Amino acid sequence: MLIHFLQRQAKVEFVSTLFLLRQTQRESTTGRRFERLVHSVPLWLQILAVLLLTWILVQPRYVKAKSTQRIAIVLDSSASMRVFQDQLPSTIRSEIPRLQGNAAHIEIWLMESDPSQGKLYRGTSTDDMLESLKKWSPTSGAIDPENTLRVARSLVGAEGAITYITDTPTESTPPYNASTIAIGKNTDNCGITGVSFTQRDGNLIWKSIVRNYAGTTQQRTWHLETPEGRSPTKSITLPAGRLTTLQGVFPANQPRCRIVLSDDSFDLDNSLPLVQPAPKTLLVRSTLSKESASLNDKILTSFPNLQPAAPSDTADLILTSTATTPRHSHLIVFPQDKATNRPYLTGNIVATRHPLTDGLNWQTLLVRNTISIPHDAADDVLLWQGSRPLIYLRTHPTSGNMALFLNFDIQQSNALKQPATAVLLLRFCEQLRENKRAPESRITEISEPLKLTRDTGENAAPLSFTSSALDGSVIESSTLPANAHHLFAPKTPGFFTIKQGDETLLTSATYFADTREADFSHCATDHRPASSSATAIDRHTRDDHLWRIWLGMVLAAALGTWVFSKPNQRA
Amino acid sequence: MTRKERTILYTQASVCADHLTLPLRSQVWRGMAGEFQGAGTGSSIDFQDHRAYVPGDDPRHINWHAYARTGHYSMKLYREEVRPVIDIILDASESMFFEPVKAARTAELLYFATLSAIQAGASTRIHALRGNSHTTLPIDAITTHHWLECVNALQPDGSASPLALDQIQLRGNAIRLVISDLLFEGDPAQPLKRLSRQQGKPIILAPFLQSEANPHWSGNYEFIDVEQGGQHPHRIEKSTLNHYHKAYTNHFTSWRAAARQFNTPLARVCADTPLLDALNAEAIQAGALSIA
Repeated sequence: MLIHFLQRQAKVEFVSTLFLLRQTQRESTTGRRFERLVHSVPLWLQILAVLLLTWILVQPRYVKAKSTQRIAIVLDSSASMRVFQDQLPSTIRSEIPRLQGNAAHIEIWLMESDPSQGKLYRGTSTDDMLESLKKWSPTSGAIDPENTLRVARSLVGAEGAITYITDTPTESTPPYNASTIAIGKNTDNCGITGVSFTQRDGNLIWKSIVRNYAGTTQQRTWHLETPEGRSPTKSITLPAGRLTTLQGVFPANQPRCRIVLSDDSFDLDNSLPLVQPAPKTLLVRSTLSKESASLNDKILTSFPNLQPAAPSDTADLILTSTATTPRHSHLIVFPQDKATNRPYLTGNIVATRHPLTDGLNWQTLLVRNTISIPHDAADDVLLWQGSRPLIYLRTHPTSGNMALFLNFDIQQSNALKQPATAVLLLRFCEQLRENKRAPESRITEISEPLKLTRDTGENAAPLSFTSSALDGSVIESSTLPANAHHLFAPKTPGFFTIKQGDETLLTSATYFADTREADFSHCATDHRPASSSATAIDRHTRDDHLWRIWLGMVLAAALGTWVFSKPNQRA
Repeated sequence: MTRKERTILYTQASVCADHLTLPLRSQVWRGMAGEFQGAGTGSSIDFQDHRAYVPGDDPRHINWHAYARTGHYSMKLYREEVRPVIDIILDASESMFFEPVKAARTAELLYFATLSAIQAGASTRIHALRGNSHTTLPIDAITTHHWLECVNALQPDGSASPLALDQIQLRGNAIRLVISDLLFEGDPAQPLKRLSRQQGKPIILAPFLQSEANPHWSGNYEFIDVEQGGQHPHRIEKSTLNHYHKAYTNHFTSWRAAARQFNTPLARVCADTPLLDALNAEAIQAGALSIA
């Protein structure tokens, strides 16, 4: 517009020699093309003005020499990322320049989406970060990255850049203005999904389920390894999405063995370490009268991992009708009333909120107004009918043993026909069994939280965690304080033992059992960039402080154009 | 151009015609009796030759002195005197009249040529050409100054074509005086060849403006062609002007070269100086005019 308004109006002139002017144009067009651009001071000034104006309008910004962009890269901790781990270095290396933006330097945080894991790297070197990535081995299940993204945002600040790298595209936009890069793809996988044990003819039988997650028929081979050798390799063919069960006898006289499936892209579910399961048992003794002996039999036969205590053994649990103080053992107290035809209790049945009664329905319980054992103020009443405590729990103040009082004659009630009664007793027995400090052998899943009953006193020996190979050789050993709050199974399939002093607390084989992570059908590539922050640009760059000079030059060039385009005075 | 102005121009042209005339004596004429020597024998007083008497000859031309000496009749032959033939061809295109100065000079040249022809007693025809249109102007249209109305009545066809000489009938053995600025494209040899046919003697008087020869253009222009119309935007820089000067010079150099080839006197007549000065500058030397 400026050029237009400062352009001198063309003079209208009648001429008789226009054909001569055209001849001059023809001479130009026959020559080099550039000759068509007539040398003209106003033209060059106009070009200069346009270039300067363009420069001003583009608003160039210069990178500040000391600007630093904070970048947080959050990696999906899920085990499925193992398959695509090779692509991470190239992906991150190509993403870093975009995340760096206009900043001269970068500060990088490399984190996992599992907030329980520490930072993988923090520094300013991309190469060092990628070097630290080589040690990363994702084994977790599916984890919502929101918590880690929140932490990442707090680390990098409002102007920082966050990228979440996963293998499965998300439908929703990630929070905290994080960009998302999905690097997965549909990958064929067959894997072991679970294991169970049964006893048959005195033999321990293992059963394992193998699943084909792929959309096509897959063929695999498997074998069983023991410290002394391996079984012949067998082949299995699995149609798309189908399951099959492998089973066999646990090798006699072997503490551990391993089922191995032929390799594929995802390695975690291709092996299943096994140990002979040996749960903790609860020794039970009954002091009930003969009329109530059936009650003892029902409990022993119906509830798992209960054993009748030998006379020489100290019982863990005593079923009694007379004792009321659990000084040496846990108690389940069933009062007996020889009087019959007592009236039924009336009044509302109300259960208190307690783990033992959680979710149980007692409304159909019919109880006669039999003999009652008075309860203390310190007892936890679990069930009321009117003002009478029907079931309550007493804890011995010094030994910590517990006594469960069913404060009515159970034989004169319909409690034995109530599912709630059976569940309550089972929960109580399981609670006692779990709290019993005794050796245990079982199968665990990787990264499974472990609940171990151990000595947590001030003078208690520390816990020793030992990972071992199939032949029992120690792979890795570590020590944990006795009062460590969180114990987890290893992150990779294998064997391990936890001891406290000389006492073995847990012998276990851990395996991968997350079927969601083994299914790669939803994996794909995707890229959702985050919205750029104008404040980040302002922070890392500065504007062209010479813009006033450029603007002045534009005006000068425009005026120059006007002056030079003034018609010749002689004309 | 008003009639009064044309009257003034006529007066100036007549003064000029007293000093300069068309080069009629350089041509050997044939035709009707007049004031100029013809190519054959006639009845003028200029002795040409002797020959033997043939019965039927006019006895007044018998050379009696020779008869006295030789006893044979011999005849004295005299050169004939004929009227010259002049065709005046006026280029009536818009370029001749778009500037008042040039229009005045065109009128002056037309008056001068006509008066010169009349003073020589020549058989004179005046043709006006505008594109493909033409008309023949009667002599009295010149002397009564009506010629411009006749010229303006010609319908321009909007083309800057060369003079359409094919449209007019040129007489043989005639001086063909062309008044034209020659500002049209094309090979100059073609019109000159046409003018030279039938023993024609072309003479070209080309009025021009200094503003055409040496314009002082600079900057942006919307040029309008006076003959074709239409606006033609041009940015005139020094280099453009140099190219124009070169093209203008080359144009008339080619005309002069062609004129020499066809033995045609070509005189450019500046419109910005008095007529007599303008004619003296080039026309005499070029042989287009002669001093009376």
